[in-house]
Amino acid sequence: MNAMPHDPAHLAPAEREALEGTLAAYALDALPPQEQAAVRTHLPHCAFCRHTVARLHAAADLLALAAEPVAPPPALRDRLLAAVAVEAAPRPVPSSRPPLGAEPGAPARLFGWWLATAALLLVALGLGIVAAALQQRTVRLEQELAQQARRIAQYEEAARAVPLAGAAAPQASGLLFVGPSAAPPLLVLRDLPPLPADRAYQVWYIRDSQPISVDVLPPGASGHQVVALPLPPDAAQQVAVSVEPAGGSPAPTGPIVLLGRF
Amino acid sequence: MEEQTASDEVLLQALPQRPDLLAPLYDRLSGPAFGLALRMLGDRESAEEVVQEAFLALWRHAARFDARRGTVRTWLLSIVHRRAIDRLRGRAPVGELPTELGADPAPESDVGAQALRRLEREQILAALAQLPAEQREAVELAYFAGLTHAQIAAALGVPLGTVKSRLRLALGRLRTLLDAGEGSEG
Repeated sequence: MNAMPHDPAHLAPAEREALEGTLAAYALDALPPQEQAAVRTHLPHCAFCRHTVARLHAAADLLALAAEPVAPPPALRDRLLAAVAVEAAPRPVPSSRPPLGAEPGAPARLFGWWLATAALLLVALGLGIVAAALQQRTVRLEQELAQQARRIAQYEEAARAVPLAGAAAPQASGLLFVGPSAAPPLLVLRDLPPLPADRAYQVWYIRDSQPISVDVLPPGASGHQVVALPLPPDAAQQVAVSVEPAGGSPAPTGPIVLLGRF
Repeated sequence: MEEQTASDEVLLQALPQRPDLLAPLYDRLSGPAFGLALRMLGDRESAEEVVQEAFLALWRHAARFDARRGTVRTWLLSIVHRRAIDRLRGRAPVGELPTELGADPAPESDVGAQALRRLEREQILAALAQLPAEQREAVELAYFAGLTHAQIAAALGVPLGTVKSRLRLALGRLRTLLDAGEGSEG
């Protein structure tokens, strides 16, 4: 897409549908980064695409309302309101205050002011420590996520993706991307139920009814997980995820939560 | 101000002078926001972080809200969505607000803000339920799982053009909810 504006009157129906398909993917943020950027730089030049994207954006925003509302934990409300109170607090300007003892009643008021300032500083200090810890954690998570993103990017044009459906855990799902032969298969898991601390999810290939252990997830891993598997499936017919003692088992013992067929 | 009866939009506009009004906004909107983040990210800790970031962005940028573009609810949820997608893709947030990254809708663009105020979750679910299964699947993989069209094509084993066409048709159908609502406005 370039700087030339589109004239809807001169687009054949098929061209227009193809263009609107690209703009729909753009509105959903579902284009690869380069294409997303190309559309973004095109929009200021093209009223037709701008208008179409605005309409599609508004439609995409409706999807958010389809998610079932869930009450967040009360602690989140407290954290948020505390953070906003600190940001909203006016900066004290000590020089504008009268010197200590300048008038009757001043020491009490000043004491109150210092107390408030000290309290605020304590809160800010506490938040600062939390923020520093979060910052470290964020950097680590970003590195991990960047690594995951690079892996996922390798599979963008994956030869095949094998869906895993929930067996013992009906809400859980998964996709196994089997990419180019040199790259490890990538298992994307969603909505894995949380496990007790002494249990872990274990991934298996099943070949001629024989399970082959592929990988054991760390204890406590649940929810959304992206795992690069150390073995290619080769001639396996199925891939499965089961619940095992932490560290894994030589053969599946627990319930199979997810199962997919090659 | 009657905090109980004031609309989200009125509360948001007063927010820069009245930071305490974030509490009633939070009480109204945190359920849908957390539900969306949880559905996309799958774990409560990340979902909490995303919801907190989104409300902070709402508070910091309240003055930039434009009622012609939609409701406070959809604005907040679009921030949650953007943040969650950033996390799913392992990409650093580019800006606090979605419009800093996405298209900046022209003022003449009609987003159906009036209709949006009256739309309920049940209507969205009903519209989604009426979509052909393959369209719903494609649009949900894009929106909730954060997959690109190429990943969706790979996951479903269909050509890229087919995915784009399904996304276009699905959004077009959802769009009729807004257009129909505007029409009944008279």
